[in-house]
Amino acid sequence: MSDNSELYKYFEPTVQHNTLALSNIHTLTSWGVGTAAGILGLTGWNGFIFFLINWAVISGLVLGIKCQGKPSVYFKSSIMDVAGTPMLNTLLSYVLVWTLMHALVYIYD
Amino acid sequence: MSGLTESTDQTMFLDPEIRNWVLFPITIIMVLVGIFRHQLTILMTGEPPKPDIKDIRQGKALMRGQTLAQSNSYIPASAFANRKAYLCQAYENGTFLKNKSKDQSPVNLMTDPKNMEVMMDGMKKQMMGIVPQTLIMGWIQFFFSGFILIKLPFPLGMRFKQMLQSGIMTPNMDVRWVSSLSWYFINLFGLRGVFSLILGGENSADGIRDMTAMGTMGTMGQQAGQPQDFNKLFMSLKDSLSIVYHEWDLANIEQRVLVKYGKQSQIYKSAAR
Repeated sequence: MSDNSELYKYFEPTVQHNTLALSNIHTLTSWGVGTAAGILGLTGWNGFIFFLINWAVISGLVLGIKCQGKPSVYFKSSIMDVAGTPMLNTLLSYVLVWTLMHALVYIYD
Repeated sequence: MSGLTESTDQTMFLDPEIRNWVLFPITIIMVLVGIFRHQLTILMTGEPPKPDIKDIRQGKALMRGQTLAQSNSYIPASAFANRKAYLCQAYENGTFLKNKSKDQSPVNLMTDPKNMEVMMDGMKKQMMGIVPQTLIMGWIQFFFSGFILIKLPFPLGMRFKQMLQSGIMTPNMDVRWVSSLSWYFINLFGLRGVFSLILGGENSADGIRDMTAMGTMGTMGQQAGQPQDFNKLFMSLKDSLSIVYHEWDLANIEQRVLVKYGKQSQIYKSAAR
C-alpha cells in the first residue's frame, strides 16, 4: 500500500513565501556583512572565510529562532534549502558590497 | 595563493571624483534601468489573443486525460474506471476534435494570425531583456574606458587581466586593479538581491536570466513551429490511460488510522479495494 502522504505535506504558495522571506533575510544580512568586511579591510581568503563564518551564524539563527529548530516544517528539503541553495546568490551580493565598501574606505582619498 | 603577500601589494589612491562620477552613477543607473525594465515589461505584456472555443475544448480535453492519468490515486477505483471509459470512448470518436475530420492538415503556425501575436509578445520580452544590457555595456565602454576604477579585495588569475583591465596598457599592474567594465559585471551579479527586495520575488529586472535566455533562444526557435495534431495526441493519451496502474490513496485508510492511534498493531492487506 503506497503511502502518498509526502505529496500532501507542503502547500506550494506558502513554501514560496517562505523562500522569498529567507532570500530577503539573506540579501539584507549580506549587505551588512559585506559592509563590515569592507570597512575592516579584509582581503582575499580572509574575506571569504568571514563570509562563511557569518553564513553559518546566520543560518544557525534562522534555523534556531525563525524555524524553531524544525526546518522541515517550513521548507521542502529542510537544511539544504535554508543553508545551501541561497549561498551562491548571497555570495554574489556580498562580493558587490565588499568591493564597494573596501574601495570607498581604502582606495579613495 | 602567493599573490596575497603584502610585499607585492601595489597601493594606489584614486581620485574621489572618480568615485562620485563613475562608481555611484553606474550602480544607480543599473538599478534604475532594472526597475524601468520591470515596469515596462508589465505594461508591455499585451492582451493574450482571444481564443477560439473549439481550440480550448481540444486542449482542455487533452489536459483532462493527462490529469486523470497523473492523479489517479485521488479517486476510488470505480470513479477512475468510469472516467477512463468515457474519455477513451470520446477520444476514439473524436468528439473533442476541432475540425471533426480525423485527418487534420497541419496548419502553418507562422501564418496563423493568433499565434503571430503570441510570438511577437515573446520576442518583445526577449528584446526587453537584451537591449538594455547591451546599451549599458556600450555606454560604459564608450564613456568610462581607459582608467582604473576600483581594486578588487580578492585576487584573480592573470588570465582575467585582459578582460578586466581592458583599456589600460600596463603589463605589471596587479590584476586586482580593474576598469569600469568589471564593476559593471560585479553589479550585474550582485544587484539581483536588491531587485528581489525592491520589486518582489518575480521580477523582470534580472540581467543573468536574460543572458541564459539568449543562450537558449537559438534552440527554442526550431521547436515552436510544429503544429499539433490533436488526433494523434488523443490516441496516444488513450493508450497511456489504458495502461495506468490505479491505486487509491485512501484504500486502506481505516486500517492506517487504527494503526496510527495504536488500536491495531499492523496493516492487514485485504483483497477488496
